[in-house]
Amino acid sequence: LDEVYLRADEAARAEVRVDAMVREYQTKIARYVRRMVGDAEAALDVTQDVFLAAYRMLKAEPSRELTAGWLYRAATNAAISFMRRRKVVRMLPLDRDVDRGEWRIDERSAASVDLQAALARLPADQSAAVLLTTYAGYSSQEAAAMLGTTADAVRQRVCRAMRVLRSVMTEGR
Amino acid sequence: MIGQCARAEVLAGAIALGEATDVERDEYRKHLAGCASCLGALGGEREIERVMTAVASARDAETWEPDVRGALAVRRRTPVLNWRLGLSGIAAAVAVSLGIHALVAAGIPQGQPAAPVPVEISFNGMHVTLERRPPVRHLVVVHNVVTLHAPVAAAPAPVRAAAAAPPARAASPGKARNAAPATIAPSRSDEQSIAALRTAATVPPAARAESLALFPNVTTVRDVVPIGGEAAIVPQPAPIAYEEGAAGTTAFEVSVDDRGTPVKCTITKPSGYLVLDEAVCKAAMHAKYSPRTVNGRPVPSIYRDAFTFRDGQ
Repeated sequence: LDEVYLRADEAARAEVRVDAMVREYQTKIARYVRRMVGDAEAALDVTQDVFLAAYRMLKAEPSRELTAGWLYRAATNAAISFMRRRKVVRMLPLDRDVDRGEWRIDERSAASVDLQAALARLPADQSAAVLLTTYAGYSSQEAAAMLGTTADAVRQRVCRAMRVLRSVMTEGR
Repeated sequence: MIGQCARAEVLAGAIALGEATDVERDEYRKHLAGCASCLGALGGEREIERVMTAVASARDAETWEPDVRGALAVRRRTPVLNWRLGLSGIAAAVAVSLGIHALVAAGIPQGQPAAPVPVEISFNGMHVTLERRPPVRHLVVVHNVVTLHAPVAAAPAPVRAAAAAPPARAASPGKARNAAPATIAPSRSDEQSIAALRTAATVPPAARAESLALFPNVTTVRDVVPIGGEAAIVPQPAPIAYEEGAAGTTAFEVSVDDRGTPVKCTITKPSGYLVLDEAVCKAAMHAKYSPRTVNGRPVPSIYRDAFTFRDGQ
């Protein structure tokens, strides 16, 4: 019986941990996913999927550690599989730049770059690399661990993404 | 050169991320000095930093702050929406629902308290196991056989069984249906009228079978029956039937091939609720049958039966 109580206690604490993660990371993850998929509605769905997966994971294994890295990795994979699904169902008006109109406003006011237009041109691995580093603030080493690659590969992807960003910035002038 | 350009990309990435050491910056500068294509494609350090500043300001300008907690709570409560979620919540819900069906199928009389079902629930990070009593709302299923204890319905069946010549028995369901108004008062409820739909000689009395064996010219017929008796067909209507308070009598017939496999189910008298009819046919198609035999040889046949559903409220 003690064991049952212990396990219940552990499960409860695990759930509290996920709740805390949701509070802390929901905006970051949602923004990250929105930049990846280019659609706010889809981003909300994917974000929910990520946290539901976290609840599920800790329910199965309460002792497991839940890190921001895990969340971002799950979000990256979920976003990529969402984009793959969307590619298959082309009839849906869900192209990556569908949501750009509203975004341009805040981005133009920042007198910077139409980031979404640039991201829409990038392959998913480059988007993920640039967003995990410059957007989410992880080092290339940390981003590499999340993406299952090396730090140098992340840097190279950032560099390639940057070239596209640059050309978008030049077009805008 | 290609290898060096790839290395230059890595260095440019490091500079973009602000991770490059002085040595690496130096290496990058040296490469650009000798490689016009990289200079054009990647730009100098200032150029890289300018692009990254633009990205950073786009990030800082972002104002979108969604709150997914409400939606998450809803989705966690209704995990059916997500096919991948194997939450125990579903299992518990299914168990409760099955429990109700089982009780209904077993013909638990109205008003009898159902057994408490332990349900594990969790909220606000707490795990609590409660005993939740399933809602008293239930559907009473009356099988035609179950209602045969009524004296009016019980009387005609044995008489017909004894009187009818064996070959005529195949036609007896139709006959029985026609004969029903004569034997049953019209004021009687559904379950009594469907008694008349019952095949008269579903199970011939043992004594009768013995006496038939004495005459070799007589054809012995054993009619099709569900294996496990008529109770083997357990309709489990969808939950909406309970919500709607669906009630009525469904008469149906199942074509059974010579191996006892149900081939086709037809509703001969719909109850008025598709959900009940479907549940009956589904259950009938799930059952196994012992095929009709003529002189011991199995033949395809039709099994006829009916169910009456009453709202238990």
